[in-house]
Amino acid sequence: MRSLYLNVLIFCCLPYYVIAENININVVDNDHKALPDMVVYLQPEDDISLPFNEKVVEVGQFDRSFTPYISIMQLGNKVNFKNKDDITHHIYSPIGDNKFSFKIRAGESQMKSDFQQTGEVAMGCNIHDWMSGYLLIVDTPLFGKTDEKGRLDLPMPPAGKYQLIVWHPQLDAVNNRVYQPIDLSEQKQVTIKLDNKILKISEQKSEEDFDFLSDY
Amino acid sequence: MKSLQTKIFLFFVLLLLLVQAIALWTIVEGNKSQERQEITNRLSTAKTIFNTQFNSRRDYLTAFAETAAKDYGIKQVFEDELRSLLVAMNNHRKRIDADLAMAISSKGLVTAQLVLGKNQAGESKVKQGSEREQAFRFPQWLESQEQSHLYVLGDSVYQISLSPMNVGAKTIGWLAFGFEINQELAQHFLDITQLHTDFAIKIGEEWRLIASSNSAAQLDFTKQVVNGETPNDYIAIGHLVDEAGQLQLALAMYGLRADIVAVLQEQWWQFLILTFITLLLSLSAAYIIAASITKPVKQLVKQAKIVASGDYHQTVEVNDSSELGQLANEFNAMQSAVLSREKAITHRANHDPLTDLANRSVLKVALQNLADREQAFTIFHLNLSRLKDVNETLGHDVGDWLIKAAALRLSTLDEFQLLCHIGADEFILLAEINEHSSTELLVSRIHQVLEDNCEYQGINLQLQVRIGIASVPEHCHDTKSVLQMADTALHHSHKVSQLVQVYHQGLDVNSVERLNLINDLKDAIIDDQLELHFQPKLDLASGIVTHVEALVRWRHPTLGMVPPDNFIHIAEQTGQINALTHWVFINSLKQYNAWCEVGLNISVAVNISAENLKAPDFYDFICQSVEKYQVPAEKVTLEVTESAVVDDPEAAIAILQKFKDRGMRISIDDYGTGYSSLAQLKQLPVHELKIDKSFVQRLCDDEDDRIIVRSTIELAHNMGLSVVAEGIEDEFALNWLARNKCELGQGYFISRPKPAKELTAWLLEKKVYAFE
Repeated sequence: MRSLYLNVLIFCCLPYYVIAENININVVDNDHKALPDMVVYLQPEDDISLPFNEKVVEVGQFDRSFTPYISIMQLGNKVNFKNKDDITHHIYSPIGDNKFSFKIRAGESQMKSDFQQTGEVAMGCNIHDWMSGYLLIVDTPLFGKTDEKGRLDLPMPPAGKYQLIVWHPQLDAVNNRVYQPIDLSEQKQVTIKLDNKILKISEQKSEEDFDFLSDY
Repeated sequence: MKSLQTKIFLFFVLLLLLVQAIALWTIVEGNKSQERQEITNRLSTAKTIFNTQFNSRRDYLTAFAETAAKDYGIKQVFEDELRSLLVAMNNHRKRIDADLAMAISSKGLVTAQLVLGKNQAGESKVKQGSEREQAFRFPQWLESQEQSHLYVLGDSVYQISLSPMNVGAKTIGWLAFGFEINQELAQHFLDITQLHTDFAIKIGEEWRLIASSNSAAQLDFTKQVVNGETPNDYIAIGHLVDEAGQLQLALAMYGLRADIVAVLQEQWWQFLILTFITLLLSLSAAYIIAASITKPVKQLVKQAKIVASGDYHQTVEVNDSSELGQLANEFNAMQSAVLSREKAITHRANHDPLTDLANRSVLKVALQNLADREQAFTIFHLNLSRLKDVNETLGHDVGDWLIKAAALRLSTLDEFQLLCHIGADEFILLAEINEHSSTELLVSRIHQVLEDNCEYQGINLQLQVRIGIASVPEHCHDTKSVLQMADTALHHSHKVSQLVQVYHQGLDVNSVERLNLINDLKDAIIDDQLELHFQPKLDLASGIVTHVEALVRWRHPTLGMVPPDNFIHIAEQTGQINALTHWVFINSLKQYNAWCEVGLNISVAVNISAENLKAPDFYDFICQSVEKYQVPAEKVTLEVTESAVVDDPEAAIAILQKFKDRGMRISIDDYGTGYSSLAQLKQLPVHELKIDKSFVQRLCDDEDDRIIVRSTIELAHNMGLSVVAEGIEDEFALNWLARNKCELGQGYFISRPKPAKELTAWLLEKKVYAFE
């Protein structure tokens, strides 16, 4: 009797989890291998208005690299550039619609809230050439990065047709994006198989040894 | 004939030429290979320089493009307004003086292009390129790892390097910088390599010359060089730089061969002149060496010639301590050895080895001298008597000793100008005739020195000489004859057993024409030159002639009458005596018959030689002849000399016995001169003895002869033999013999030998002798 009860409990719970208003997205490559760290966002097709999600995105500089490598924000969010190193960084993005450039001294941070356009912001450090980071500005609150297993759970938006977009700076596709239309009234689980390759992600590491830096 | 000097010189010349030729050849080959090496080096160096410089330009561009692409300033204006980008790019361009600068957007569009050109005034001027806003023509380059490329823009070709411009990992575009491949670069290479440099491009099959340091550059020539078909009067190297699939940059570096080797050619002349000078010096040295080696040799040759001519007093002087000096010394030693040997030989040639006295050749010279001076002189030809006996009994050593003893004594005589020893026991003394000397005195001097006996190991030996003497000009005028005359005189002294004989003409009969007679005798018998004379033998009892002795005479066509003594001896020695005796015998028989016809009954006596008795057919011949001419045997008398029997008594006795048995009369001729013993006489089958004329001629004066003849007659009679005496020259002898019962007499007193005709008349007178 006890086992029957447990089985019934599990059975009851599963639909509940589904009913908990989340959409499960899986990103895999051709060989069904999980692709982590892929940006996925949902762009409504129909005239669906989604609520603005107020939050501050942190783009850190730590150990002379952008942490995280990829950051995502909804247009209008504030971005906090936080220098966690003991050295000055000169963060800049010279191309596109969201050019900026400023220095952040060690341990300080710089809040920026004036990004006007969606799109990718490729960032570099004028002092540390190898540092490379991306900030993707999207016009939707539904976005995230896949985890180690290539999975991303997003809260279920109102039903309707959406464009599911996978982006990665090294994704070998036009605009580094793969589009897949989905109808959220039907699908709660989406697996996206990417035929495109992920190009080599350059390491944010100096080719030379900067031992002498510790001395100044 | 080549002289030694020439040979040595030639040898050196050949050697030097060979050495020089080898050296020359080695250097020629060395130089050629050096030249080739130099050219190869030069070309490969030029190519290396080109590659190095070309690559270093490339690397420089690449490094610079990379640096520029990282420049924040340019990144900031990359998408800004064009003017800012152009200014920023030009700032970079100026730093390296690049000829081309380009910006390419991430979309592959050429967003900015700066080209350095020249305006009409020749000043450098930067302009915007024509490709702005056009797609970059080589999008594959953008993705390629290869950053450096050849870029054609209009008429110009650039060496460019592309570098991506990144923001972090994001490539936001590309920057390119380029250097033009132009005349300036070509000139640069010319300056460094001294080789002209052409640049051409080849797109597909189309060639285009783009720049050259050579204002007269030809595309065809460039192509030839690149294709490895360089004309021979050039040295060149070609090279192609490949821009994958697009085009090829052709490089030709070249120079005139003549210009390159000019320096080497100059070295050549220097070397040839040096070689020539070296050769001249070497040849001069060779000549001096050859001359210095051969100089003493020439000296030797010259002096050797003098010595060879017989002048032994010249010594060879070579001031040289080397082998040649030693040779000269040896030469001198040899010369003195030759001299002494020649002296010894000359001495031996002119002296008798036993007595060391001058010999016949010295004598001849001496005689010739005397003849030249017309000096009167006398030759004394001496012969040691009885030397043969000494040799046979005491040995030749004693004989020689005796000769030496005689020589020693004779050499003490100072009256003579020359003493020669001309043969075993014969000496010749020569004395010039002057008023103080006389032949008799000289002869007595000779006898005087030889007078004392010699004693040899207790044996007393007498030195007795016979001497033949002849004088010039007394006897003859030539030196050859005078020796012969002395010799003849000496011989005669032997015959007559005298110690001294002076030459006179009478001695000469036997010897002078003897040789001629030998030959002529053969013809004499055939040509009927012989004739028979007969000498009567008188019967001393009855006083009438009952016998004759046949005597042969030779009427020589040129010499006239030759006495029998002269030619019978020759006939005996030359084997002609048989023919002669045959002729005499047969003609005697004929004459017998002739006399018989005129009523004369005369017995004929013929002389028989010892040689006749040895002839095997002689007996038969006599018998046949007697029978043939029908002459009674008892009318024939064979006269045989005592000596003929002595040689071989047994054979002689046997044949004489046969004649006696045959009935012929046998007579012993010249009895008393030989040495036959009475025992032999007793055995001889003879009828009569013929007493030699030497006993008969002096019967009148010599008592001894009379005793001998009387005893002989008595002896003969007692043995039953009759006696004939020959040599009756006076009446006394004739009467004496008749009185002593000698049967027959013969001699001039009765009659000389006469020809048959004359004698026949004489016989027919029938003169009868009466004896007292």
